[in-house]
Amino acid sequence: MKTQAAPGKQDQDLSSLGALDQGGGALRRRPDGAGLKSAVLAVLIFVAIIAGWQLTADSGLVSPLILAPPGEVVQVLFQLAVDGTLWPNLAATIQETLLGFVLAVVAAVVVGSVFSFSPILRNAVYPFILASQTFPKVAIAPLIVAAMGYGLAPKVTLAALLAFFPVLTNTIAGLTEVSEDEVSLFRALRASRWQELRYLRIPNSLAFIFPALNSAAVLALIGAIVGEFVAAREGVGYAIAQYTVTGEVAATYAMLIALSVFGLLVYGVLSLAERLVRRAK
Amino acid sequence: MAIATGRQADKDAAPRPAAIGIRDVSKSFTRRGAAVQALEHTELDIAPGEFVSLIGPSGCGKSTLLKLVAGLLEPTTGSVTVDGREVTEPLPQVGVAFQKPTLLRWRTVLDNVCLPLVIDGDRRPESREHAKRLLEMMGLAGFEKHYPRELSGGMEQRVSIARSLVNRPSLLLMDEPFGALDEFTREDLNDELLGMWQREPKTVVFVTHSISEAVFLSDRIVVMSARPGRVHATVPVPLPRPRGRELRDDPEFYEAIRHVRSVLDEAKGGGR
Ligand SMILES: Nc1ncnc2c1ncn2[C@@H]1O[C@H](COP(=O)(O)OP(=O)(O)OP(=O)(O)O)[C@@H](O)[C@H]1O
Ligand SMILES: [Mg+2]
Repeated sequence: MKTQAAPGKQDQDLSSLGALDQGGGALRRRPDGAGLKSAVLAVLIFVAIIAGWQLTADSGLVSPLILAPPGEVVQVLFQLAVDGTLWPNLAATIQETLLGFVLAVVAAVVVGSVFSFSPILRNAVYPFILASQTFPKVAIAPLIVAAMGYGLAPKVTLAALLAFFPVLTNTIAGLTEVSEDEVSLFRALRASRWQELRYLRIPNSLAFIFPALNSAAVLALIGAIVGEFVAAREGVGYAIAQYTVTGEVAATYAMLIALSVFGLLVYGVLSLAERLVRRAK
Repeated sequence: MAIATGRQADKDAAPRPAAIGIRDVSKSFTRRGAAVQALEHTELDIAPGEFVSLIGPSGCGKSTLLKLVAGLLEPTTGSVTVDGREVTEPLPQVGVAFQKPTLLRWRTVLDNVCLPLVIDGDRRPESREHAKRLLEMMGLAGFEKHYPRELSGGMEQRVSIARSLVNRPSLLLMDEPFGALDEFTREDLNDELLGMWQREPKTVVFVTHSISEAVFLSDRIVVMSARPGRVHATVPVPLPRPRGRELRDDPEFYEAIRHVRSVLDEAKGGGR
């Protein structure tokens, strides 16, 4: 039961974040019209947020050094896009994030697979990984930059370090948390170890790995931004740090909005990938 | 392995039914230091082509006995043989329907039924057609593309039965396959199972809690007693074959049920 409960729960968490299709689950599909209602509600919430933001900025309760009104932010965002300041910074951050993300996912899936086949190795090494996890990696950002310089490497490293752990734990869980009955079934069918992996453990692990990819992507972005805060010549984190110093508040918000659009894009791509993989199964 | 190669050579020809020998088998489990004696001094011979039911109180070791024959458990003492060879690992000619359906949730109904074919490397379209026919026989036509989560418990169980049959096993081990079904569906599927058994002769070991089901299906009923589990008595069912629906209204049928019930009562009494 545990096996089925865990990914199911994560699926629900995901679907509450966005309209993630569950891959033909007639039982889970919402009644007709619910999608429209959600969309209308989402628009209303968006309008309310903008209105609240505008009102707060107008009221003068918050210093203009901290909060810029939405109209100005959009205008600056547009301006940054036109004058070309936005793109190289955004591109740098995206590159660091994606490289770190891919590196982390590949490493975590490989290490997780090895661990799931060698409980001895897992039990020996896992405490160290756990310890390194509770350790605030953001705090060693300056050290990493000192070791690796101002270029791409330290940002990718930080992004990968942050993204690695959730994928690792979920890979191990997905490959090992199969029920005794399922293993018996494959034994009774005289399946080879490879067949057991191919037809039982890997498909089982996908339901665990995909939800982890979303958090890994967010963590990779955080890693990249932190790296840029410490030392960089370009990147959204670098730009934000600059704008904060020069008091260009609207530009800071414009960069944040650009980042969140990128985040949504990543989320959409991951959901699509999940759907395609599920369909191919 | 002679049987395996024979089966590879003509997969579609009806395989020779298997014979089972259970010689003085005991099985104990250790859980947290405490030993549970699941089976003790169990003796049983099953002839090729025989349909035998195991019946007995919950926890008397029926599933354990079935898993020993399936090669999924090793006896603590004694030996289990299939066609005269000692069982040391699961055999290719055996189909198993577990007490729980154990369907893979990411595979459709049809793909679940075809899993044994995939593991065997059998990708022939006629095997897939056979799988579809089995689903139809189980009353699941039209559900091929559904996922397990879209099925009721009884439907899942029927899928797992179809899966146990898809390889045309010469020995079929079924653990309460119809336990989750209502009386009507159960009787329909009993008819289907008997029909299939008559068309493709095979040895069947069938665990059930239903006396009438055991009587309707079996050549022999093995009554087990609990704690420790062992064979209490073997009751032959002298009803003529082929057996059809009308048998269920036959006074002889009721007489046989009454007899088995009395033996079962005795077994329960003896177990305490
Ligand atoms: N893997 C196991 N580990 C420990 N004890 C077990 C295990 N499997 C079975 N047992 C014990 O062996 C005994 C027989 O179990 P078994 O499942 O064979 O009973 P059963 O006759 O199939 O019961 P039921 O009719 O309820 O399915 C029980 O006491 C059970 O607790
Ligand atoms: Mg049982």
